[in-house]
Amino acid sequence: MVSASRRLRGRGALFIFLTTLPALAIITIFTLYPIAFALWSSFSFYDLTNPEKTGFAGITNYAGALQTTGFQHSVEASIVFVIASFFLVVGLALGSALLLNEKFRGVKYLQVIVLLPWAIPIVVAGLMWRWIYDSNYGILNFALQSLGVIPSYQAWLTQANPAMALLIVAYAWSEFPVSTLLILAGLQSVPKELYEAAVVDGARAFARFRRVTLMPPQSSPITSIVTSSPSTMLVELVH
Amino acid sequence: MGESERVKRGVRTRRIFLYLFAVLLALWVLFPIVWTVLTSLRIEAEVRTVPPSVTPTTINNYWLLVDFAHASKLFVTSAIYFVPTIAAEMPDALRNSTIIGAAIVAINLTAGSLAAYTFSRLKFRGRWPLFLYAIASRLLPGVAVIIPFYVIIRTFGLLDTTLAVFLIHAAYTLPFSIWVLYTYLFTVPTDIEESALVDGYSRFETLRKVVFPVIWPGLVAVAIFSFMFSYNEFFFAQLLTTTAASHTVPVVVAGIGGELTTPISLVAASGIVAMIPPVVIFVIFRRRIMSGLASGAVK
Repeated sequence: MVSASRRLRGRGALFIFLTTLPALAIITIFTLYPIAFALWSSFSFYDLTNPEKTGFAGITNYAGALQTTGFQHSVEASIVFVIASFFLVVGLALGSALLLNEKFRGVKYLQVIVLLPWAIPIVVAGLMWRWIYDSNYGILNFALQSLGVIPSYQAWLTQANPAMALLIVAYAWSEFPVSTLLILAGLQSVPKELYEAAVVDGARAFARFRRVTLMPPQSSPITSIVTSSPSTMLVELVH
Repeated sequence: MGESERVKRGVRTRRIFLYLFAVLLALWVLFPIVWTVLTSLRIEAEVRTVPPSVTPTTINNYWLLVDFAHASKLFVTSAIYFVPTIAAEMPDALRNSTIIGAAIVAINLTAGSLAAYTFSRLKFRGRWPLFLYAIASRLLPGVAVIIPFYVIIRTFGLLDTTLAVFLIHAAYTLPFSIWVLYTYLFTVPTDIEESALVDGYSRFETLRKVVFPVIWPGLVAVAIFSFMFSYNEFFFAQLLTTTAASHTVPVVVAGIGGELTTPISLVAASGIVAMIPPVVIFVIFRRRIMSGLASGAVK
């Protein structure tokens, strides 16, 4: 132990340098400078007809952005989108993970099938769903009309509320596999003894689920996964 | 007797519900994919029909994506079958995306795991701030930094190269990988490492012979997550690439699908082709991926 820590001190500095430098170098180039650049230019003014003429603009750019009606509207839309898709994704993922955690024939195949949307770039998923929602030949329109829900084909993506709802469904389809995987990993790392102890103590099924399955803090990564970059698909589908 | 009968019936009901939900889940996941496959196997006039009909009639859409120069001469006449020239880039895009993805996996497994090891095992001044700095950069929203990214890449003279896409994907995946492996290393006991050091192994030997074999589930998780990020990423790739030399799969598919005149069946085929590399990886490494993630590497 003594000799180990002495070795550490002797060659430690070089080791630390060699092991952290590559990662930190890449991260620094694409982090520090971009932040500084974005901050600096957000407080500057530019004249597109006269590139030499730049200077300090104070907060006018921010005020300008906030006053744009389009900006306010898209902030509202983003908030609705993020909250609704968050709940849909977490709900879907939790249900799927609980199902995949059971033992039944074919569950191994189902585990792979559920991963498939993850293998589809979100741009591609956007195009796939856009075709399903298509106003003239989409299968959604056909299904709804056959069932008698709508009298005639609708242009879903040009109507604000249906467009948002359908967008959220498509996004949830694309994003829930990763969350499912993470929750499933969490479920499988809950020690069996905990469940047995809970049964012995007379806890009912729902209480077992709430106290043993959900309480360990392993569901926390969902938050970071779910809220990541919805913008690409938003653009692809709406456009 | 009545008690055991009731238990048996309860088990059977549970079983039925399990299979019901399993079928629903499979349908929900597979339907859009199956629908896309069916769409891709028809010519344009047969796709745009009411009611939709689904019998496969042609593989020409795939032929176009695999061998554009040859196939387009054979059956594309611009009047009825407008095809954007970017469709010719599909083989290049598959190559670019796979190379970038493999390089991203490599950099995360090397630079990422080394940094995570040092941050978790070695005590040195500035360790905590440096670690926070390394992982906090992941919080940057892409849209806010896209212009500076462009400027940096242009300054390096790397516009329209796979290296540029690689660098940005590396900057985005490394913080996550360092964080995952750092957390994972805390769950691994340090006694063996320490006795290896006492026995005269160097740090690098200890890493290779003792640490890596123990943390393989974490390495699997890091590899698969960073590959999928890189393979799916569209925003930066779209901005930094302009030709087949560096276009990635999402960029080419978006290019094909972005033209309103493109046959939807060709768009569908390109979407299916885009799925192939990750699906092949899932199928080959399924066991490793599932057990790697299930052992709690990502928390």
